[in-house]
Amino acid sequence: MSSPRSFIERIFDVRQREVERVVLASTYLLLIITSYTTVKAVRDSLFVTNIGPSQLPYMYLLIAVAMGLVSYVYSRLVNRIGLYRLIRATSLFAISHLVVFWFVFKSESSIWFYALYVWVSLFGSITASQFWLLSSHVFNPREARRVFAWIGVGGILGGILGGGLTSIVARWFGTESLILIAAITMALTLALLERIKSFAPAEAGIPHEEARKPAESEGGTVRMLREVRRSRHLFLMVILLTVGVIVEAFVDYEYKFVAKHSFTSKDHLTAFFGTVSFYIGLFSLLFQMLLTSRILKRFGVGWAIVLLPSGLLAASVTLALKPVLWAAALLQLIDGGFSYSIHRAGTELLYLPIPPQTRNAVKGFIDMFVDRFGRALGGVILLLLTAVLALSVSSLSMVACGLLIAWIAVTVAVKREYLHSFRRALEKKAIEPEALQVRVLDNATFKTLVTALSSNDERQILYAMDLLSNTPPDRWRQHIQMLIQHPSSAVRARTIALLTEWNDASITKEEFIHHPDYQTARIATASVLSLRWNGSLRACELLTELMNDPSPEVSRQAIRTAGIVEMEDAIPLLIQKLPDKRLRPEAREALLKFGDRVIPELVRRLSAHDEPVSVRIRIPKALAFTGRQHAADALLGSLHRFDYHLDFALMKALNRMRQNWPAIAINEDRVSGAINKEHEDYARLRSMLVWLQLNAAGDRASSLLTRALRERLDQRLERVFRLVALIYPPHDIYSVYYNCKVKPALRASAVEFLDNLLTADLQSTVVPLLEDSFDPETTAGRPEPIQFISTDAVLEILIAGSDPWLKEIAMHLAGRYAAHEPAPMPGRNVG
Amino acid sequence: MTRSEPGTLSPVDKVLCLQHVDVFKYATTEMLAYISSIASEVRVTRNEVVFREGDVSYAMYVVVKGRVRLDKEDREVMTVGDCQSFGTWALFDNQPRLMTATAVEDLHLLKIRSEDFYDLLADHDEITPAMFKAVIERVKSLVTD
Repeated sequence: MSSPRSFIERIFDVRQREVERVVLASTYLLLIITSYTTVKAVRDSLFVTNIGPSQLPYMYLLIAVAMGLVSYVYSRLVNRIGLYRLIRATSLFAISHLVVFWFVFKSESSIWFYALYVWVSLFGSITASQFWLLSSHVFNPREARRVFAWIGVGGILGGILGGGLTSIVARWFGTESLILIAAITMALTLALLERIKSFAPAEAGIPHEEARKPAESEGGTVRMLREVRRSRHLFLMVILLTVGVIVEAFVDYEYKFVAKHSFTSKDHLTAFFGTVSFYIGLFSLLFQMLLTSRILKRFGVGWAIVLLPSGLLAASVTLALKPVLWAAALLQLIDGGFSYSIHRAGTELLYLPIPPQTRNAVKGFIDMFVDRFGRALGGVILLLLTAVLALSVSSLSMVACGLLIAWIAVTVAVKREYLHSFRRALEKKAIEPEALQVRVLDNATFKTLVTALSSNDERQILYAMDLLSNTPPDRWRQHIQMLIQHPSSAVRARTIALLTEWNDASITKEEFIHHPDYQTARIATASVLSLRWNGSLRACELLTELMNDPSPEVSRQAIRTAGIVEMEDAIPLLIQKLPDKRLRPEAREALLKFGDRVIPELVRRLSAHDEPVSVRIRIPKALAFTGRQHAADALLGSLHRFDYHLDFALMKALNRMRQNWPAIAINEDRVSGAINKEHEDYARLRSMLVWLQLNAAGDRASSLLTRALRERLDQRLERVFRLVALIYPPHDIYSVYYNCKVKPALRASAVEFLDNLLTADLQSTVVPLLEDSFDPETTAGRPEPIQFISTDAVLEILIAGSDPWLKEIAMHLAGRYAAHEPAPMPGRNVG
Repeated sequence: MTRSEPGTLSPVDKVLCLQHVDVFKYATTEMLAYISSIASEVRVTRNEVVFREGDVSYAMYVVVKGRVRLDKEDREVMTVGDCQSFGTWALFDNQPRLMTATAVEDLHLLKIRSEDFYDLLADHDEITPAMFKAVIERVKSLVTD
């Protein structure tokens, strides 16, 4: 029976340490989308009732212009005041504006309806973009790939909640009261923001030097346009998405026009908009959960992106023939429902062949430029058709049908070009395997990958295998077995490794274990042992022999098997393999398979002074990866018991544990003790440095020693920060260290921040070190805590110390001074 | 004829020489000590060729004592002296040598093989950023020049 933790990990692919963040982030998104959906329904209802739908095309134009201006100002603001302050300010700004709108709508001045219309669009786009920016700080890229889909569900639920709420409240309490509900919902996000903020690195909240240039420069747009012109795939994508935005304007206009003429009461109209939003959310959620992945797998990306225009075409024909409320609602439902589910997934897939280094820039460009340009163009076309040609809704629907046919034609071309681009990207190895993890691969893309397995190029096959290994094995199991006959030993080894990973019984076949190539046969034997493990002495001996095989491929597979079958006798050998960089990842992975049982042996070997340093230095990281409390206790207990480098490995391991397993408890007293020890060492080294500088011998070796001491002081400071990060929020502490080191302008504020964060005891230890290291003028002239009487005394201490490199230089110098006796060296104790 | 010989230099002596090498300028003294552990000592007599233009490059050299002339297509490009390096790019690729290196005087060299260097980087990954920084700085200066 699996634990709730492993259930969450298996089903949702969300790690335990991420659960709180995912819940907070999706709730935050739910609240902002609820607020947006509510206030959007109010806006639409008030606008079409008080101003009339004929003015809508002007609004599309106005929104496009306003978005351009706002994004220009916004990118400067985010760089100047930092993300958190900006989000907080935006939320407070939005809440106060909503309250103002609530008051002014009693006056019925028409200017406010225009203002609200544009304001809501800006509110929706800014809060959503702020949210995703915040999320990108709270989750690292690997986490983001796994959890963003689940966070997005919060958004869909927000649409459902907002729609449902609007539908009920508008009827009972009137349209305007919804504005207050939207304000309250936004106020709730402020409380969540404080908690979410605690998970993000501090530098996310403070202005960023590198980000001081505007996000969307003129040069960037020109470069992107050039990029689009160079690539047929990108060009077609831009056309496709632009047509989509134009059609969206048509759909919006027709829907609101028909709705306005179907209701006499403003509140009923608002409730209707809310109901439609509710069903759009529900439709998206169900479609996304039940059908999107199936359609993509079975019919491919072409179908995924053609469903929306085809559905809209059918609904537009219906509306042209019968311009009534249900037909308009159907049109809106198809638009919203498909846009937020399968169409989005299909469009995401279209970005796959674009090289990762340009993908984000291209997406940003398309999201900003294409959206604004398409919206403005849609507004202009609609103005022409409604204000100049005075077309009816039926006629407009016919025009929309023409646009939709063009959309479908571009879709066919895009699909064809997508496959060409994908094949080219595959040949150039421009697709990163992780990109496939989050996408449901469509059939055609998948077939292209499988075809690559028959390539003559060994690297191409290995690359295709890497990409395919991110997809479910059942989809390509039958294509891989033939690769055991491939002339390349690397391909054969990878084939066996994959089949073993899948527990595929076919590796027990003769063709594997008696393969004509001896190495392949031994790799297969090592794999078969994992499937037919009986724990007998003979099996153990065979596996040990294979682990010690001179071929790293054989040894690697045998190590994996030792981990899978949890052969306890192999633990010492696995630890011994840690220094070998070719086998290290497999050896560590195998050790981790033993769980708690491996920790005592790792700790024993770490403390054993007769164990080679090359083995001992690798143990802390292995212990860190166990994620267990007693491993952390052992690491902390070992601090300052071994040599300088081993200590550093222990600190790095503890930092890793603190970062990845926040629930692990760290004994603060012990850490404070370790910080004091580092502080003492720092002070001693500093005094030595000052002595040597004041009594400079002038030879090259003495200069080398002073340089080495300075470097050690820097490293001691880093170690102090690593220790502090064990008991304070690591992101904040690293951020202070980074800012002090790299950004002199921010040093004062970083020290100030630290002053407020640390306890008085720690402040008096850490802050002077910082000042001494980065601002030596403030500490110049301060009496040294340790007074030396001679250079010999300094050298003696270094020779007796635990730092091998300082010891080496000191011995070299001592030897030289001894050889040159009795010539006195400056400051030397010759008496 | 170049010949390797048992080391006469201590790690500290080697570091004292390596610390002046441009490509190691951001390495700490301790990193230089690691590098010194893979630097073997080589003696070359006057007028001998260390490597020829077009040879496969597999090692870089640092002059401990002596002078080396670097020629391209039989024209002298530069002379390298004490604590300077030559053939440095061999650490980063094994393209054919661009120049011929000839001993102007009897030479005492440190030789760092690229294969050993990559093994060292695998064990001491903290050296990599320091190397990157120096190489990028050098590439930038080439572009600016």
